[in-house]
Amino acid sequence: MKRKAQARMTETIAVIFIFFILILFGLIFYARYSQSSFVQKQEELLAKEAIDSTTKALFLPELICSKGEAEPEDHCLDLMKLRTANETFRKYLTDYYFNIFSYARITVQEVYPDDRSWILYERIKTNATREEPTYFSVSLREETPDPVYGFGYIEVRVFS
Amino acid sequence: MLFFAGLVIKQKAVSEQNLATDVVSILDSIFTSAGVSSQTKVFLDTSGLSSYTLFFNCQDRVGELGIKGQGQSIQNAIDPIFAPAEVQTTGLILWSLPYNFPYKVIDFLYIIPANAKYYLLGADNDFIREFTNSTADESPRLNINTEFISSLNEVKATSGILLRLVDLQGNLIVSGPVPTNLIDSSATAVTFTAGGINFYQENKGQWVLSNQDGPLPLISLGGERDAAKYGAIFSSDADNYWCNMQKAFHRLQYVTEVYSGKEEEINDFYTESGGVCKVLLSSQDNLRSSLLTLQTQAQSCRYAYSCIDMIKTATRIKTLDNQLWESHCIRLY
Repeated sequence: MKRKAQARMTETIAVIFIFFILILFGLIFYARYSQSSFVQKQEELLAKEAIDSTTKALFLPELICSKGEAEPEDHCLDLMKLRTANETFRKYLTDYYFNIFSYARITVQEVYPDDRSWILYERIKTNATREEPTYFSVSLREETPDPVYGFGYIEVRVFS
Repeated sequence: MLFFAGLVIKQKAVSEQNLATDVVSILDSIFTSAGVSSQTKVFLDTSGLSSYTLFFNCQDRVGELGIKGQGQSIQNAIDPIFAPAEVQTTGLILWSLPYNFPYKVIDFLYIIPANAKYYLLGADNDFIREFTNSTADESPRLNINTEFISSLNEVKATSGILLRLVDLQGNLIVSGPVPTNLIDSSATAVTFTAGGINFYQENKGQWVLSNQDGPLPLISLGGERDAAKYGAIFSSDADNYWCNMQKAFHRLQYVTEVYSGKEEEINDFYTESGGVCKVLLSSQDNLRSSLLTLQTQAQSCRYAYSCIDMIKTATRIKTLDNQLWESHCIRLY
């Protein structure tokens, strides 16, 4: 009788042990899955932020080539405005522009006719682990009585 | 068993909250893209969300978008979004128009539920024609439901339809009692008068004024597709309208600073060559002083009465820019 009870007790302990082992496996699996999905989510968010920031930068009223009352020229940056805008962006970075671009660096690079570049916006995250650059080609309009057009690209690099 | 059942229920609730937060984040992204694509209309199918209520709120220049009672909302202090306060619909029309004052300041995004109907009243035939044409679209999904009526009795209040009455004369809606067909319809109304814009909400057979501090001014230079006027039509109430206009005035301050810099460069360009362009730029009450005034006015514009002066200054900038253009000089915008 006593031996039978002992055997049952051992059996129960073994079942409970296996049960907890299974739970432990489950927890380890879930933790790993959560970790990888968190990393994936962060990457998705960064990619989304990069696209959002590039879209916003391309259509900024502070930079676009206006044509009076008519619709502005697509994918064209006004160099006269651009030269002032970087100062305005820097001045009101914390107050306003950080809400638009967050942690990012926006650079305009002229390819033709000259080779010049302007950093329009810069707020780098000190402990950033990831960065995502996006490039978009733009025309650059130098205002004279008859505007002169150059060619370049805008680089929007976001950090997280 | 109970432990596992509890775990599953809790996980389900967490997943639903996370899903709602993800949906709001995606909506925000779609709204951002739609907002910057000036002069475009986009249809967003929200049939999967038709059992949920989306809310749009704006206070102290900060907008908020979320799903009522679900997940986290998203705040936005930059983009003006004119929308009904709460929406439960199978589709949204996203329409973006540039706010020019006199140059482009920002894009306004109008969110129009597929189940909204706009009734226009009044004798402003030019605006009625323009509004009807601009809201109509070849694609039925992008067609904003508008109708011109001569009397409030013609309004058909149907369950599940958001009613918006637009009185372009200013005295047609609130001059009399709420007609029986509109009682308990939760209709909202906007009236345009020479004194400004008023917003009303029908509540138990009464028109309740939403802007208690007096009419709100229409800060725009007029013309076709007047973004500020359209904003009033698509806004839920006075607070929502003025809060979003404040976002535009905030941006105006910075855009004007950029244009001031451009004006300096134009001035430098003509310093040596002189001529009529130099004369125009250095005349009394010139472009530079007007830009400076507009920037100061935009900075101090917090309450309705302190913003009206901006219209005069923006008009002056527009005139000076036209003069530069007519004289074949480099224009400001």
